[in-house]
Amino acid sequence: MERIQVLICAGTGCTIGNSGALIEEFKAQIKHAGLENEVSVLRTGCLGLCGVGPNISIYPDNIIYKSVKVEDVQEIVLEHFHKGRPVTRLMLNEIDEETKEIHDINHTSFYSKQKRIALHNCGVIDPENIKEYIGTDGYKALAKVITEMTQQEVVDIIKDSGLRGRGGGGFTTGMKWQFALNEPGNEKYVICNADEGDPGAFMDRSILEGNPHSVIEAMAIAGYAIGAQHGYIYIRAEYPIAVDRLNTAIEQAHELGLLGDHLFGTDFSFDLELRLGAGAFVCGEETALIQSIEGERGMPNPKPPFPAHKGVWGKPTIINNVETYANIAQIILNGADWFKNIGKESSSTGTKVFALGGKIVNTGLVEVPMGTTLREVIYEIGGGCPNGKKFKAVQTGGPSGGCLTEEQLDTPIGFDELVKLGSMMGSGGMIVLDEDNCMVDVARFYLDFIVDESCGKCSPCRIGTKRMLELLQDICDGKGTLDTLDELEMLAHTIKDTALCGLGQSAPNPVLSTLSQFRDEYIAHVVDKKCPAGVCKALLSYEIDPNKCRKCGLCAKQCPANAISGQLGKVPYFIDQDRCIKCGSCISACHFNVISRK
Amino acid sequence: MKSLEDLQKMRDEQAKSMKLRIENNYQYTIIVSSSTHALMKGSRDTINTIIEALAKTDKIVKVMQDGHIAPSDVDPIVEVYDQNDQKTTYQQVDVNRAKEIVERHILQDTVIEEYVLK
Repeated sequence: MERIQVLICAGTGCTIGNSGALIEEFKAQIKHAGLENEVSVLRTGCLGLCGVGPNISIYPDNIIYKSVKVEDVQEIVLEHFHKGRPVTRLMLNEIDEETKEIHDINHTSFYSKQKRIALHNCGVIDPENIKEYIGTDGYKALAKVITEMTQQEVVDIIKDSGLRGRGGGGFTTGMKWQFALNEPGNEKYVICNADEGDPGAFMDRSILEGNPHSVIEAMAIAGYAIGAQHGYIYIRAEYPIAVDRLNTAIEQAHELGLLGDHLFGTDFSFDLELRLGAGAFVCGEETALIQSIEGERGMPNPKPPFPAHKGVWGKPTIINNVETYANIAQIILNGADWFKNIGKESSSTGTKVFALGGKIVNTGLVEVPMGTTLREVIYEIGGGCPNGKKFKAVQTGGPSGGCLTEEQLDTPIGFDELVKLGSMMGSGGMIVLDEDNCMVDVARFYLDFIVDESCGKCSPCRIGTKRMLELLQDICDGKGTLDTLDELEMLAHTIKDTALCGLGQSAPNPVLSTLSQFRDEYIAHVVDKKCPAGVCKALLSYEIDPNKCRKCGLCAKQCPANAISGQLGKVPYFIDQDRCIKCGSCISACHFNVISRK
Repeated sequence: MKSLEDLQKMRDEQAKSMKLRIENNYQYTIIVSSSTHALMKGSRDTINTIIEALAKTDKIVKVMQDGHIAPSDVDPIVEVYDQNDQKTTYQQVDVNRAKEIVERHILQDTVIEEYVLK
């Protein structure tokens, strides 16, 4: 009989870390030890700590091993499974120093403040086996909705829960459904927006990889609620594992009669198909996404008409984000009140998944109740900045969001709270910046992304963002003046007011937010011509102190630009600023620390 | 899948094989010593017997090995914790005693005094 189950993360991050080979090795070693009847091996979805993958989870011990390599497998099998001695050196669980007792994984600082609703099956079930989803009450909400509830009752419970769109805009989901339900006609559509494009965001991918049925079930529920029989999942082709898992999931749901005609013996039929996006950022905007599904070039249209009135193929359509859908079945099963009671400390309800990245110890996926403070997420769950560096800012909301400073970290997380501070929830990317990041450079990075991704339909976005990028480039190159800042600000406001779609309107946000929170850094660039973080190369200079130079010539040897001259043992070395490419090789070459970066 | 009942049936069937993962409200926790000495004395048969006997019941019990329990003359040692973390330690638990522990201690909630390590 089975007494131990080994779950190996098969998400994108851990797969890159070779978790596929781990599955094979575990099976082989378990067989070798004669434990094949007692220990089983399964693949699963994201456990959260992607930065230290591949991660594996052991039940019933509830132990997570991190950074497991193929060479470690034999030790785990023999020591842990055979002899009952967990391999402490690989363990994520904390250990009591005196009693040597292993603490529950949910008591570690990374997990203790988290609450998994959207991610609730990720890391627990095998995403490629529909029965495992059913084993955790999967498709029960769909059955309940179809057989026991009216369409209006379904919409009401979603409205009552206060669920807001997790994709960026934060529009009330129940309202969207109500608009579509109110539309006459029996040809309507349900769309899942899985075109996750913000730099550094991977929440939706992990949900689709770890629990694809939660999205399929919710889309069928939405279909029933508004009276649609057909759905599309619009997913980017750059997510091959998620696409595979979705295809498998849809196929399995068909086999069991959970998609298709006459679901649960009623008259309700619902079917789904995938549409692969080619990776254009603008296709995450709903009207552009609809164009792309219809086979046109993905470009936004003015709203109204809103998709709920006139969407794909000109019919009423609801478009929700992956994470929004992942909450639906849980709300139906547990009730609107249950959901409303989570996150009471903020203006929003439920939880939010964030992809923690940048200068942070625990890189990965976290899900916290609304109302948790940013400080708790960054310092307690995320572990703060690595290498003792000083925290500078956190960027939320991707290219549409903004930066928040140390003083703002005690803000409870919620849609309205973040907007009030000049940032936004966005889809959930959270990038931590430390003292080594230049805020002008960060703003330039996001704008560079927008310029690349602008679809070009409206001139404010097509031309305006390009001009903004040029101004920022000038500032980074030391050619900016105080007037540049004014010009930048004016241009930003004009684009905000005149761009066609949400992406263009929010494109200047990273610039506006850094300008207001870190104006001194901009001023250092344009007035003092210095980059305080030492990132903007044009504003740096490397100098050798001629009095301390030992005339060894090592720096000149290392310089790739032949910019250093001097005479071995006789004349101190000197850097020609015109030829210097600011690579910093001389600093690392110098044994006597006489070269300075200013 | 034609009805809610069909779904429920599949759910209950599947949930059995996922017990190890999804349960967190255990009525009892059983720890079986698995030091080299205990293994030599047959503690693997002990733990497998316990697991098989429990599978026939609907009790929710967590069964684990512990290789750090000191080797002893009375191996295999089995510790049973109730929900209040009250520990009962049994000695020389062979296959027969293992079955008895499940039948009497787990199913009938009575400590088997004669096997208890004093």
